[in-house]
Amino acid sequence: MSRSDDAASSAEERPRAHDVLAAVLGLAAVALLAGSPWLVDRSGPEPFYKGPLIFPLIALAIMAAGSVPAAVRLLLFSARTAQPLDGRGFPWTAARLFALMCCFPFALAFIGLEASTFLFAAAGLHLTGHGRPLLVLGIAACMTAILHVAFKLILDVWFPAPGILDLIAGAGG
Amino acid sequence: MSGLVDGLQAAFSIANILALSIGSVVGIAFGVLPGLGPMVGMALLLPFTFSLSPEVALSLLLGVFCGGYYGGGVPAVLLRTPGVPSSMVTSFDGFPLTQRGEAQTALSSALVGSLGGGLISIFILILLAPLLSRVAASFGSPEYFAAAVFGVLLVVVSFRQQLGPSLILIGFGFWLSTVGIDGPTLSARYTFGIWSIQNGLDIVPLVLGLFGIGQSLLLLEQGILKTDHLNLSRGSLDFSKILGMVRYWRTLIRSGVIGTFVGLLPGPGSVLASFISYDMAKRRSPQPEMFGRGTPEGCLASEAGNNAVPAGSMIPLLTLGIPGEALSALLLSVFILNGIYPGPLLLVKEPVLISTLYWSMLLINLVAFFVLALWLRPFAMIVRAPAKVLAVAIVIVSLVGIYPVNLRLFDCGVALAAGLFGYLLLRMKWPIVSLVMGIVMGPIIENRLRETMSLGDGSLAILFERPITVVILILSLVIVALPLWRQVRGWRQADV
Repeated sequence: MSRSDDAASSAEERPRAHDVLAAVLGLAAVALLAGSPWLVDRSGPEPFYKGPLIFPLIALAIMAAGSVPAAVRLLLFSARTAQPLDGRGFPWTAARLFALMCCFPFALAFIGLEASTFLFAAAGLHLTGHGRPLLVLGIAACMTAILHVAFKLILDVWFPAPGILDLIAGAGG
Repeated sequence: MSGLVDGLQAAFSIANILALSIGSVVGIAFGVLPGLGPMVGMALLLPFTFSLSPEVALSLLLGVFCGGYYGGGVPAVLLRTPGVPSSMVTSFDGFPLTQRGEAQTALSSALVGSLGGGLISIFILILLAPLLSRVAASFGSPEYFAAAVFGVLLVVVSFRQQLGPSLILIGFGFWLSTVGIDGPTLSARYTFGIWSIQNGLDIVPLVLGLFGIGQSLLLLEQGILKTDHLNLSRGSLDFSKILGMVRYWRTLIRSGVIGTFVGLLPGPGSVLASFISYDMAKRRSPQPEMFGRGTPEGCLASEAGNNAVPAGSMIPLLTLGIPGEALSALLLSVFILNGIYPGPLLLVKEPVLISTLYWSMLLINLVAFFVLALWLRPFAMIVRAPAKVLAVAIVIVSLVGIYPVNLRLFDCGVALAAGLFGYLLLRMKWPIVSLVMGIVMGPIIENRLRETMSLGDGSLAILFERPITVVILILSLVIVALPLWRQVRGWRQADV
């Protein structure tokens, strides 16, 4: 087997998504490399090697260099690479949970630790299709109790007052 | 000597004992769960360490680190599914023994191996750390820079089957570490005008996102294990079987020593340590044909090898400030968050802290051993935990843990973004360890690079003028060139 066959066969073994991700990261690195003089405040000390730009440039150059083989495979052997990532399809359950959890930090700040944990644990378990409603509520209540005890009672971690209390106080006063 | 006694007192304080016990139990639980592992446990406990003193925080995380390796052997023996990757080797002999109805023998040998490997490696750590520290005391910035680059190169080379992704992730990790205000020059870097990025990307949300959230999302798809077949004849281990394992003391010592020295090297040390220890035990055994068919010696060798890695990886961490793998990289971040900078002077400046660490590691091994031996069945049952509940719980704990650190929603956003990226990397089986190493090692390498270039008036030629850096550079060249040379030789032979 020759070297080009070797490269082609390794391209066939690996789904195209790997090369696409590598190439996207490589392109982002190249874009950042090109934009670095404007994205980094260079009013720092001279000479260059003491400045803030040298290490990011090295980091981005490493990223770009690492993506070159993937980009080459993508350009030369893309027709021979496998299409799907791993045959498991789109992760709808994970995507639903992730979308829900993107709202969780806002709820944490607005309605506080206990209420947000209970709501989002129950909603998360429901979205992922876990068991009957009563069981879901029970597990959510347990999670809330455990987090309250761990963070507030044992570790004495300070959480700011929920934003909703300010709203209520504002409306009342 | 007084340091040792003070350390002993600190290690036996109630807070420390509680922390290392909780850490060990959490570590075992996460180690038992295939697909999670000690890294997720350590990442989840990271926010809890902020309100603790450094030695207690380190004991908590070290408990998870070591406990994870103890737990990983349980599903490997009972279900042929390793809880941590390195326990895969344990399943070679552990599962055949379980199939023959000798699960007690297999688990006893694995547990004795873990304990023996752990204790031997701590002994070597205590002996070797001061020696290496003395050598490292003569290090200047160029030596540290060369050693750090060597460590990163070892990680990249250890993933040579995925050289491109590994390089990309190391570079990405380096770059992430530069985002925000640059300490020495006070220049803003890649902040895109966003005020919240000025402080940089905190390591806690990054690690919690990558491992906590990313792994949970993956867990939703893959699940854990669905089994009703846990062939345990009793709820705890039979101590007569444990005592019977003493006859393999030679294998135990050899595997412990191998594991410790493999742990010194950055990269996926525990897997390599298990394989080498197992292979060596097989070669030295009077009955090598029994390996793979179910011999307790195989389980013992593998577990002793992988459980010696944590203490082994502490040697370069404590003496040079260079972590050997992602788990010790996380420990390094705990040191730094507490204002403690590992290096040769650490052993001189903080003798009590170091001594407490030694004693704590010793206690962790004993606690993990007895906890697992006495409550084997409850821990084994953890594999039946519903994946969906675990996934939701881990994501919520991750986000709740991040928010109070700086009271910034931005950090939660960073964790969620890191979680999505981590999920993608885990699903594609990219070496996520490289990314963590890049994030943790980035600031160290950048500072040393600046100092080295300042010493050399802008030239790196200074690296070739100092004997230690020359040796490190030659070693670096060898570890890079050797695989390349082998590949070229393979191509030539194929062409012929």
